[in-house]
Amino acid sequence: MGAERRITPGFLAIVLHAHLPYVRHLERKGVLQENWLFEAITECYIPLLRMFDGLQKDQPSFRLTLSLSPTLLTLLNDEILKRRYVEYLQRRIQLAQLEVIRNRHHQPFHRLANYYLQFFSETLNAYQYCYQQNLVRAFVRHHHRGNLEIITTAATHAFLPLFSSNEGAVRTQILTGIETFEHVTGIRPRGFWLPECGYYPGLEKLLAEAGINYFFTDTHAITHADVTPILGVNAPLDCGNSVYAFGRDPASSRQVWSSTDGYPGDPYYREYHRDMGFEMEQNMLEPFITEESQPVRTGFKYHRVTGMGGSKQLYEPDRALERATQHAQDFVIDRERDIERLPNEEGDQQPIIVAPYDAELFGHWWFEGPLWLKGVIENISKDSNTLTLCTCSDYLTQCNGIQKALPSASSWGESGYNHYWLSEKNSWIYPHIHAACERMERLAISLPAGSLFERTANQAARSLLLAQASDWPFIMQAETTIDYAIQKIEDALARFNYLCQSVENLQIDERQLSALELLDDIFPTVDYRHYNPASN
Amino acid sequence: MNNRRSKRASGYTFTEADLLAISQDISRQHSPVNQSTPAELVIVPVDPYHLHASWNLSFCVLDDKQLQRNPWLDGFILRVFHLMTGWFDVKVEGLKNDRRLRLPLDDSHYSAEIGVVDLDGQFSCLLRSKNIQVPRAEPVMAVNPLPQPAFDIEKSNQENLSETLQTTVVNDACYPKYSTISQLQPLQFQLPGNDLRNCCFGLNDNPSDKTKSFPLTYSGIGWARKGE
Repeated sequence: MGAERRITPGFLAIVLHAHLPYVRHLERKGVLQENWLFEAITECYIPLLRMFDGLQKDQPSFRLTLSLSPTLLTLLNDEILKRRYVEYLQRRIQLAQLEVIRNRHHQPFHRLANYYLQFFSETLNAYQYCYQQNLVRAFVRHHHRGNLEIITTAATHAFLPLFSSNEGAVRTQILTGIETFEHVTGIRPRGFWLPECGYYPGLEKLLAEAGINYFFTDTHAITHADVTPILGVNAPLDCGNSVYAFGRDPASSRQVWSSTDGYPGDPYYREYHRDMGFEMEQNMLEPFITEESQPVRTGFKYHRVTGMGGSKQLYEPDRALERATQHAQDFVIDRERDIERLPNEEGDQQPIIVAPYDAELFGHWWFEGPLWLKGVIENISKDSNTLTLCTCSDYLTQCNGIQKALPSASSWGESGYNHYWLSEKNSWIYPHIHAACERMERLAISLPAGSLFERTANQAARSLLLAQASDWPFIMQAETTIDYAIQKIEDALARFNYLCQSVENLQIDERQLSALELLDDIFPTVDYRHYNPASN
Repeated sequence: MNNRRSKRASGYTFTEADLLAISQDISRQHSPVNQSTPAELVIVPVDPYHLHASWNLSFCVLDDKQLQRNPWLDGFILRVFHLMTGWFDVKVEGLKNDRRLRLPLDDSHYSAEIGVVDLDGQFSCLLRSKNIQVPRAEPVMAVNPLPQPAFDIEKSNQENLSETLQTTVVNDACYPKYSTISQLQPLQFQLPGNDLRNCCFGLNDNPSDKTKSFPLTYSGIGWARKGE
């Protein structure tokens, strides 16, 4: 744990999970979905890093957990995407300059246009000069300074309960995720973020095989465990094999996630959905936005949440900062109260509150989220006699006598189980993916000798992993960018089918294989043998 | 740092147009939609009271006796086994299809078979699934370790069974309708001792009490508001 340790009655583990699907398009420039990465870097990852850097100067002791998905790590380290991101920011700065001129006679808008000009300029400066286009290294630096514990997740964020019938598929997701993370960061992770907190009994064994010490679940995985948990969700469970499950604290979640009670809905916070890209003539924006001529988010948002209606008032950054500060205090007071209300249990175990969130909430969806998080960290580090910030590794090092029990199958999705990723809108994908998993297993068992065959099998494994991403069924269920999600799955499976057929026919076209390796340039250490039951 | 790297060697160079052409060509020629998938029956838990079944019978061969039932017209029987107590039948259609099924009991192991019922009323299994486990719906109570029957146990067993089986569509999920299956005669849910208090056979009509709100949609970065 950090340098200055007070003895407090309880712990708070804030966990941020950062993930994006593999949205890299070498074959085509200007694909809209690459903006998902650029927006997240601009509004979330760089603001978080700058917040961590600022805290490091003022407050040397803080502890958070950050999960970085293998796909996100790959995107952040990709040289082509780095170049495209700089171009993206340069276009935003040009647009901001035009906005300053366009709004010169409208003082409140003019002030906000200047705000965005400064925001994008500082972001570009930070990206190029402070972080030298290497955000992964910047996060890793905070890990080594003791501020962050960085962990990872499954290779392509597959929703693992839906692949439980094929152990090789789950094993490959876990091992490839960990190996990619280690390859990129140089860190062997102790913790593992189960995609969408999707857990099923038995998964803990595969995590143990992979050297994982702990993972996260939703609340009811703990409360519905096979033995009544003595401390409820305020303590981890030992799954019986020294792999520990930490459950999400419902109150911490509600205060941040809830659409009605959550902080992000405060009237003074920036309104996410009102973006200039949807309100201006497209021909005015086109040179600055994308090669695809359709309305897209620009990042220029002039309004605040205001209320439920359509009429929105102008955004006031200073007022929003005040609210973030107040909400941070409120959150800490509530968590302290939660700890104080818990019955005093005898024994070594102190209660822990685990508060996991999607990292992209902070800054992207909730623009003031990083400011709020900074406030929470400062309030606890400086003023709290009740709470200590910790990571789950810290907690496990310190606490003994953890109860043994097996969590219940669960996820943090709608209704708490598998429904969101297995519904009438997306269930059609699974027979194809399951069939592909079995074909991959056969391939792994009987692959002919030779490096070209190995390359092909490894590329087939990459394609299959990409087809398993939870993001695509999620999008189909949410009915957002459905066509893109379908295309991503179909492309991945078609590439997989092609590669398998090449091996099965003993006819490998190295040029085609090389092209696919360039198109899906991910998981450098992937090993098709993970699919072979005999080699595990 | 792990420096192991899969072997790749490429002396080829590609333009964006080359890569696009290769990608499109492979996607067109090897689309999963055009691929044959093996004969299989897969069941997956959805939540404590539902499972999802998908099957592909395209490559199954039926013998003469089985064909006499003319299964291609009448459909098939999906037989779902609760591994401790018994089984129930659901009439399903399509050589290749899927369906969500409602289950009588949480915290249980299930398996399934798909097949036909021949003229003698005998069920012939064509495909068998692996076993699955659905999660428990409620916390384990120290005083009552048995799964909780979800309906009123004061009612007679027959009433309970009938009520359960006639609930065909709840929460977008199908449960076998008594009358439909009874035409095929072998609707059976065999319970040891026929005692609900012992076997805790039951049905919870509203497993989605904990339904979580998703007020925001996935309209950009992979994020949606998680349940509360």
